[in-house]
Parts: sequence; structure tokens; C-alpha cells
Amino acid sequence: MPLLEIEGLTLDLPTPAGTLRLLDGIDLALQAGDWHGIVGESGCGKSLTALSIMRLLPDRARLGGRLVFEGRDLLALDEPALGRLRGAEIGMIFQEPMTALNPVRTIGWQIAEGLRLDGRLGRADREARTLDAMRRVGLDPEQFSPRLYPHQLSGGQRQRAMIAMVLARRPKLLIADEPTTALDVTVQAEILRLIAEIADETGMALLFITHDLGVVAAIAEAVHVMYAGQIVETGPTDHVFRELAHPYLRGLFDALPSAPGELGRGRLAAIPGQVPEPGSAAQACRFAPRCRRADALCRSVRPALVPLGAPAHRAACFHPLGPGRDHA
Amino acid sequence: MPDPACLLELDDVRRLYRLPRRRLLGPAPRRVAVDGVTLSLGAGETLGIVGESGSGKSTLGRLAVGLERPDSGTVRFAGADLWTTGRRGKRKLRQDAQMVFQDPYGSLDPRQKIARIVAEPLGLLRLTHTEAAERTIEALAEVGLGTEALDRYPHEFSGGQRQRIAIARALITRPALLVADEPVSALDVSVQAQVLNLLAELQRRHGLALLFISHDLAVVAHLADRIAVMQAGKLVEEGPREQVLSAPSHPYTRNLLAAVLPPDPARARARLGLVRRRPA
Repeated sequence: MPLLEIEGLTLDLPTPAGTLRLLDGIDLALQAGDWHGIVGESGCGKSLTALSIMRLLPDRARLGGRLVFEGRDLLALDEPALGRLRGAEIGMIFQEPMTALNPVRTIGWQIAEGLRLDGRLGRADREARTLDAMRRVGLDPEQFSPRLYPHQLSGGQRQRAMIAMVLARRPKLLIADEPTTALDVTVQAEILRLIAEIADETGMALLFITHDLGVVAAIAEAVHVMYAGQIVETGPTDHVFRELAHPYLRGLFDALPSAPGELGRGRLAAIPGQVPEPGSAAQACRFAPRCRRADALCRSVRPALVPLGAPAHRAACFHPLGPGRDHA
Repeated sequence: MPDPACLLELDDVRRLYRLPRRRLLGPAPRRVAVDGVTLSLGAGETLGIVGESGSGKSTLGRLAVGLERPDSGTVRFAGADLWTTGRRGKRKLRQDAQMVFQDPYGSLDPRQKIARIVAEPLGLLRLTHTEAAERTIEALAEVGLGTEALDRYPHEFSGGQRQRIAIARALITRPALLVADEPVSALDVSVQAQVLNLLAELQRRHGLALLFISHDLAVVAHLADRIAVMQAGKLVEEGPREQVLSAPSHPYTRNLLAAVLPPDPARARARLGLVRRRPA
């Protein structure tokens, strides 16, 4: 049984101008201990997917499809049951640790807060667990008193405190939404290493959400590429990033400046146009207006995710690119 | 001595910021944002400044266009000291050195139409209405926007288009120097590529000198002829692009290069030294 199973997840938001479909049929399965990544540009729905799993969306947002965590239907749980699940079984860390942390509480208090809510451990055990978690994330309590407030820490230290908060409760799944985007690259490397080491030790599954193709390449063993509320390509990261079957993913790679070690540079191949505004459910390929390979079929029928060569590698495209093949 | 071939010269420039007082009558603590930086930029050249947050790279950009005054050292533009030159020199500087900022949402006045936003720097030039209107249309065309943009407001444009508008505004006085401070950091990869291509194209077409400031080494490496690396207010390394990238001399530069994650799973994992002991 998968740890997390998402099938045909839709998210509709009613607005005065009509109902907007923000997630349009997301399928994703995560086994215990899996490390997955969701990658896409702003507005593609990657954060909304995370918030849907945590059921942290406003009431007027309507979720459809199936969302199952360890056999429990997340769409059917009531608020108290969700409260017991969040943090305890599914942990989440966010991009901006300054807004995610409470400015008027010490970090020690905040790390222990979840344990208090669990109500299973006594005061001494909670304290020991808090200090352990701080040590594990590299905030040695000898140097960083649990009595410090968030503003007394640097950005990287705050993100470490966030990770300690999540870690202290030993969740089965950690959802990390752009956890290193606000950090400097050298700090980013430390935080990624830390999350990977902890997940490796504890067997915690990871769902990593990022816009950064390098971060996903480093941490995710399987990747889901999102565009305009849909998954357009999915599979083992090694295969997906080698074959780049969907023209959107190929376009993203072509638009990147080459790695600074490689000296080649020329005009970057930008993807023309912009991401479409959210609207009703897709009747055609959402990427077609920006795609050089699009034809009448792409503009009239929505492509389903179809298997490609490697196991579990699938792309939603009528004209997928082959390995090493250039734009036709 | 001023070098006539150099458009912009910074000579041992220092800039301090006063921090809030700790005690009512105590001295205000200071922080050195830029600490003795010397560099020069020739006409038509692209110099990339790379550094992490707090390294002083933005302050350096602001010093270069005279938005901040150095506490010591000199900033010379086209041979003249920015801060001893008279009013006429200041006016000339405002035309000849322009700036583009990171946030395409914050840098355009939401209550003004694009025509007014882009034409604003023309106040320096004493043009007739017709000339100003022609210049505005020309500047927008340079960045790939048509006349239909003139009567619209910033909120009607995407992030990439707004950055184009900011570039049009900067170029309307036909400057010799453009300082771009993190101009693509707020943009998605596909749009970032459009703006980088545009900057490279404009730079070539007009022989602009470009001071390109970014935390992203890959982006700096793509555009710059020379790269300068800043750390804690100091310039720790400066040299031709190829040399800085393939034979970095300072350990900090090597750290920065090593922290860049390529979109290639095997190499990215190797960079981080990730080995999974317990495969799923």
C-alpha cells in the first residue's frame, strides 16, 4: 500500500468571474521512504498540491478526486482528525522561515509545541527530544540556547529550527515547499544535505516542491513536472532529466544558462509567450499555444499521461521528444 | 590617474551604514557595506558582480550610479568625480547612467500609465512633446512592446513584461552605463531567458556598458565578460570570465562554484555528496 496516493485530484476555486480549475487531475503515488520532487514555474499548482495534501486550503476551495494517506481518505477526515495528522504524521516546511516561525515564542518552545500537542511525552522527555532535534539539525544547544527567538537567528539557522520542529515529531512524510529558495547557495547545499541525511536515517518519505531543476536533480529520485495545474511528465529523475520527453520540460532545460563550469554561451532558447491564466478544465493541451510541435490534435484533445520507454516514465504529449532529439 | 578608456572607475570605495543605537547616548554602531573596492568598467563592457546576501553588491551598484555617496574613495564616471562635479555634471550623469531593479512589481508606480512611467527620465532632456512621444514608442519597441502598452497600467502586465518596461525606462535617455541589480531573480526560468537575451541584445546594439549584479553565478557567467566576486563588502576575486570560472583563485569563489547544482541527477548528487545508505 502506498504511503500517499493521489488520484485525479482537482481543485476548483469559485470566483465572481466563474470557477477556476487550479489543479486539473493530479496523479501521484509515494511509497514509504520515497523521495519525490514536484517541479514547475510559479502558478503551476505545485504549492497548491502540497496544501491540498495538508488540507490547508480555504473552505471555498473545492477538492475532488482521491487523496489517501496510509489507507485514510484525507478528503473525508474532519478537522480534529486532520489536526492529529498534520505535523504528527505529515510534516511541512515552507520557503520563508521568518514567517513560518512565531516571532514571540522561543525556538525551544516552538520545537516542543508539537510534542505538547501530541500529549504522549512527559515534560522531561519532551525537553530531551527538543534538545536532540536541535543537535541533529546542527543547532548545538551549547551554542544556540533554546531560549533564543527567531529574529536572533540567521536565515539558514531559522530553516534548521523549522526542520527541528518537524523532525522532533518523527513524521512519516515531510513536504518541503521551496525550503531553500530564500537561502544563499552555500547555505542551500547545507540544508539539502541535512534533510537528505535525516530522511535517510529515519526512513521518512520526502515530497520536495521547487522551481529549481538543480535542487530536484540532487534530491528527488522521482520527479513530477507540473504545468498549468497538471502533471505533464513524471518518472524516475534519472530518466526524465535525460530524455526530456515533454516539449515544456525540454524548453525549460534549453532556457537555462549553461552551468558556470561549462564555458559555452549564446542566445538562450526562451519559451515564447506566458503561462496561461487559470480557467475551466482543460479541453486541449495547455502548453500547445507555446509549443513548436503542436498541431490540430494538440489544440483540440487533452493528452493523457502515456508510458514511454523506461518503467514509470510517462508524459502527457502527443508528440514527445526522444532522447537527445532536438526540437523538430 | 583617470584612464580615458574607462567609463566607470571605483577607487578604494568604502561605504558605511549607521545601525540603530544600542543605547540612547551611546555611539551608533556601524556596518561596512562596501570595504575598499577598486574596479573599472570600460565602455561597452559587461561586468558581472556575484555575491551572497549582505555581501555589499547592491550597495556597490548604487554607488556606481551616484545613488549613494561613498564615505571614502572616489567614483569617477567618464573621467569626472561623481561627487565633486557640479549640477550640470550631475544632470549628465542621470542621463548617462541608469539602473534596473530586481522587483518588477515594486519598481513601477501602480497608479501611472506605462507611457508616463517610461517617459519619466526624459524630464532631464527638455524635449518637445512630439519628440518625447516618439522616444517613448521607440524605447518600448526596443524591448519588444507595442504602442498598445502606452495606455495601460503596470498591473496589466506579467513579471517579465514589467521588467521589459523597467528596461525601456532605463534606456530612454540612451545611457552609456546600465546597472542591473538582480534583474531576473524574481522571474521564472523561461521568462528569465527572454530578459537575459534582451539585455545581451541591447548591450550589443547600443554598446552599453553593463554592470550586472546577481547572486546567481550561472546567470552572471552567461552575460559577463569579466566577473567580480564579493564577500562581506570586499572584492575577493576579479578577472576575465573564463579565468574566474575555470581557475578560481579565491576559496570563496570555489565554494560558490561548487554549490551550483546542475540539472543532472548524478552530478547534482555528487556536488552535494549525497549517498543514500538505505535505498527505498
